[in-house]
Amino acid sequence: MDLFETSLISGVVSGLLYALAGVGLVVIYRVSGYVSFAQGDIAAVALYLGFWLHQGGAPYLLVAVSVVVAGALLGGLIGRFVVVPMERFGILAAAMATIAVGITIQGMENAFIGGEARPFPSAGEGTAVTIGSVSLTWADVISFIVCGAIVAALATGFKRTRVGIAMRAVHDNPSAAEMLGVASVSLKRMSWIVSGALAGVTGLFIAPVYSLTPTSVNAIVVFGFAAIVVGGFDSIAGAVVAGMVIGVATNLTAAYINPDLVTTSLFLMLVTVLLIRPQGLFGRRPIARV
Amino acid sequence: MSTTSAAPATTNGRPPRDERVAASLRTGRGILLPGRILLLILVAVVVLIAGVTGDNPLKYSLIIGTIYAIAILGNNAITGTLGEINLAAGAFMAIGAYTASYTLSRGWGLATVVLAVIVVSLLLGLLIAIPTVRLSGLFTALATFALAYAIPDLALALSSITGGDAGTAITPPIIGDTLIDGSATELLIAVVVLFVVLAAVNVWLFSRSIGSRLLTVGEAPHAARSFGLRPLLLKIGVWTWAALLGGIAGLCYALAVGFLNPTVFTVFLSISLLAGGLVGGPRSVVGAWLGGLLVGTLPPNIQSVVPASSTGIVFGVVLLAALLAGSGGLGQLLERTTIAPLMRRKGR
Repeated sequence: MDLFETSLISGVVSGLLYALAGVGLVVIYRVSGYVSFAQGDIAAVALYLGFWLHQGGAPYLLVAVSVVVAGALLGGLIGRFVVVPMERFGILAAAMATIAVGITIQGMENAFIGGEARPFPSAGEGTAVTIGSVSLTWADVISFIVCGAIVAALATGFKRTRVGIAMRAVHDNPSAAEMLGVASVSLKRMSWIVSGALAGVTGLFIAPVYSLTPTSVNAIVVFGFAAIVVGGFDSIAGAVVAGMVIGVATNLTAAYINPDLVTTSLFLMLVTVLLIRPQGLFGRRPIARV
Repeated sequence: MSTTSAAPATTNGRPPRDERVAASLRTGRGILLPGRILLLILVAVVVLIAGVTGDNPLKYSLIIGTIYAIAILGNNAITGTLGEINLAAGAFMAIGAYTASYTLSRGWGLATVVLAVIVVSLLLGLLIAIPTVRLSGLFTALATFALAYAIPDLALALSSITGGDAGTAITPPIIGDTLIDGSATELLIAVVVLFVVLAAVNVWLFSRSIGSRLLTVGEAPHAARSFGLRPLLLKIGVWTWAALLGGIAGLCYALAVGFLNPTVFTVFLSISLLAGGLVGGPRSVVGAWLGGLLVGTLPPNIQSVVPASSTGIVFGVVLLAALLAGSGGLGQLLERTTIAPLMRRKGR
């Protein structure tokens, strides 16, 4: 029973983190129609900066802010100079460009920093709250609150703000958006900055748990992909629910079946949802003119 | 990758020869078929001479490069005809490699092992293809990315077959008096002949009506349905063909390296194969070979400059360059500068 409880509660906590990883991908998808496979790599670079600052004695808050700013900056640069210009060859070419950027960054990290695992500071040590037999640390609670707040803010931003609506317009009907004076290229570049910052935030909560390596954040971004596909690309609330479902399901798989089958179960969930409901559990069915 | 063009017809109802050559270059079909086969044989001769006369490291890297080329040939069928991104080419190789490893360790003969690899690759390929062909574009890339991510963990979970973390040694088959491993000239000859045969079948099939059907399905799916084609069935065929070639490449890979570890079949391998295919040109069989040789021979030969763990830099830059250069790749460049002028001259 304890194992079940632990799987359930930690699944919900990590599920929100998966949702945040997914939402970082949705920001670019909303404007450009593809996802970035380099999110984890952008986060890793920003986290290495944070790691060195921490080694130099910087307080956690400064480390956290630096990681987020570095993520935003790097994301913005990659979007501005590599991926957005690549969109003229099509969205699949742009998506492949993000893969190219990702493996280049990984290669550079391996060459200049090394692939060994490094400990990353946590947002808070010690038990903050106990639910049944499960103790949650301050880092878990802070992660839950921060992820929840960011996801809620983005959901509101996409629905209620002019920028959010303009982002949707650029993806749904680029010509109409252009005629209405929406600066689509600027919005695309901005989406990369926001997405990079979100990658930094996600990394801040992942690195203390999995240690910092060139690929440790990437491993969680795959769960983020799954969260947005299962939840539906156009539904932030869907990504949250799907993230939690994925968190609980993969925890139960690890606890009761085999930890090595977690990624296989993720793949099966992804394919099942794509086959039964391609728009995701909470997404809108796209209407296409034939 | 649209190949549709309106060519002015001549009096006999056929487009001018120059137009046919240009169309053939774009599509990978048509009038350049004999030239493509000739080019394939020429590259095979060059690879064989280099491998037989060169030292063992060169021979080994040519073997690995040609094995990757077989996998790329399959992957190119998906990229070049259906226009989809498959990020799980390494998964298909893993299926073939582990089937070979398991059956060889049970003392099966090489012919039975090959048959087992073909059957298992076809069956598992079909199993993966049936759900995957219902997806398209970004969703295909995401689903195959998740599959590629799952493969190393799945290999750990199936430790009774794969040896888990510790990996598994391949029992090398003996043919006559020769032990078949990565240093055997016989293996180099075998993989080169295998590639030439598979590539010739590929280019011949693509030049038949099945090729135009596949291109229609890939480029104009709605029109394909209107013409009475069955896109899902054709797509399943392409994906299964890719799985078969991936499985055969996996079998050869297992024989060449002699030891399998789950960390071999990562997303990075699949991305490298995709990059190799794009650099070589997704509609050119010679391009697939050049792409495979690039993926197989470049990392060991630049290790003094770029360490093995950092080859991502090279493949990342190469992939970006291939995307910027367009869809034709090195293969089309080679065809454009060698066989296309010959075919044009022949017509005058």
